[in-house]
Amino acid sequence: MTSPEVAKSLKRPLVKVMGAGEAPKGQMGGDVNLTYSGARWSGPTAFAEAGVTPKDIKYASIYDSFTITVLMQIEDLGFCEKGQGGKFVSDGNLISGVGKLPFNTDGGGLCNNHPANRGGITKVIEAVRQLRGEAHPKVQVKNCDIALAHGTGGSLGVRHGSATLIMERV
Amino acid sequence: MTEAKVRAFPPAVVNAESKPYWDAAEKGKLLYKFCTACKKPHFYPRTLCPFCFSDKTEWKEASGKGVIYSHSTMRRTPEPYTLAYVTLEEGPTALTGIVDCDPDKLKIGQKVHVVFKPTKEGPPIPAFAPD
Ligand SMILES: [Zn+2]
Repeated sequence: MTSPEVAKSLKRPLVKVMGAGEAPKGQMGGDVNLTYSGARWSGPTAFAEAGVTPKDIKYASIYDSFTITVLMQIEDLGFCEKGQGGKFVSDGNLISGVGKLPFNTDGGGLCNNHPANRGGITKVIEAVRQLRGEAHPKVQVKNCDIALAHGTGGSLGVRHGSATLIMERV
Repeated sequence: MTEAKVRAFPPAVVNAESKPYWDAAEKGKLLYKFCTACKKPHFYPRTLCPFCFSDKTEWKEASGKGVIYSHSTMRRTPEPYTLAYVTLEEGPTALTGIVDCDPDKLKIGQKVHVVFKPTKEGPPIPAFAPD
C-alpha cells in the first residue's frame, strides 16, 4: 500500500479502497445467536462507505476457515437471503465464469493457503489480482472493476472480529 | 451406553470481579447477574452491564435448570468432551460443558441441570447434565 502519488509512478494497475467495515461479535451477554456473524454489521458499513451494493461486486474473497463460515458470511453480507446460502452455493454461484459471485479463485484457505493467523491478507491479495486482471487466466473474472474481501478472526461461536473491504480498479 | 471418559476441568482464574461467582460455586450455587438499570439478566457475569454499561448489576441465584441451545462433542482427544450453549431458565445462554451423558444422545432443546465438577486447585466448575 502506498500514497496515490507514489502509486501512479509505479506503472502497475491501480486498486483503491472504496469502503471498509469492522465489527466484533461475542457472547452478547448471553443473548446468543449462532446463525449470524459480525459480517452482518461490518458488511453494511463497508457497502455504505463504498456507495455500492452486493449486486455490484464482481469478485469476492471470503474467509473460509470451514465451509459453514462461507455460507454464513455470504448470507450476512447480503449476497443471498438468510438461510439460502447452501442453495446459492450448490447452484454454482461461486464458480468463476459460471455464477453470480466468483469467489476465492486462488483456492482460498480450504484448498490453497492459510498462513497461520494471516488468512485475511491472502484474501486481499487475490482480490487485488482479480482487479488488476492478474489472476490465473482460467479463473480471471471479465471486467472485474469492484471486488470485496472479507475476513473473520477468532472463533465464530464464541468471540470473533469481522472485517469487510471493498476495492475498485482505478 | 457409551459414556465419555471424564475430562478434568482446568482450574478457574478467580479475580475480584468473579470471586462471588466462584464462592457460590463452592456452595453448589450457580449465579448470574441482573442489571437494575435496564432490567436485563446477563451471563457470564460482569461488573458492568453488557447491554447498557451501567454498574447497577446485582448477583442472583439461578435455578440451575436450562435447555441445550447447541452442542458439539470433541472426539479427537484422549478424553472426548462436549461443549454446549445452555439457555438458563432465567434467560441468558451460557457457554458451558455437558457431562455425565452419552454425547450421541444429546438433543437441541433437551432439558439439563447444573452440576459442579471439582478441579485440582480451585473452586468447582459448573457444568450441565441431562435431566
Ligand atoms: Zn443494563
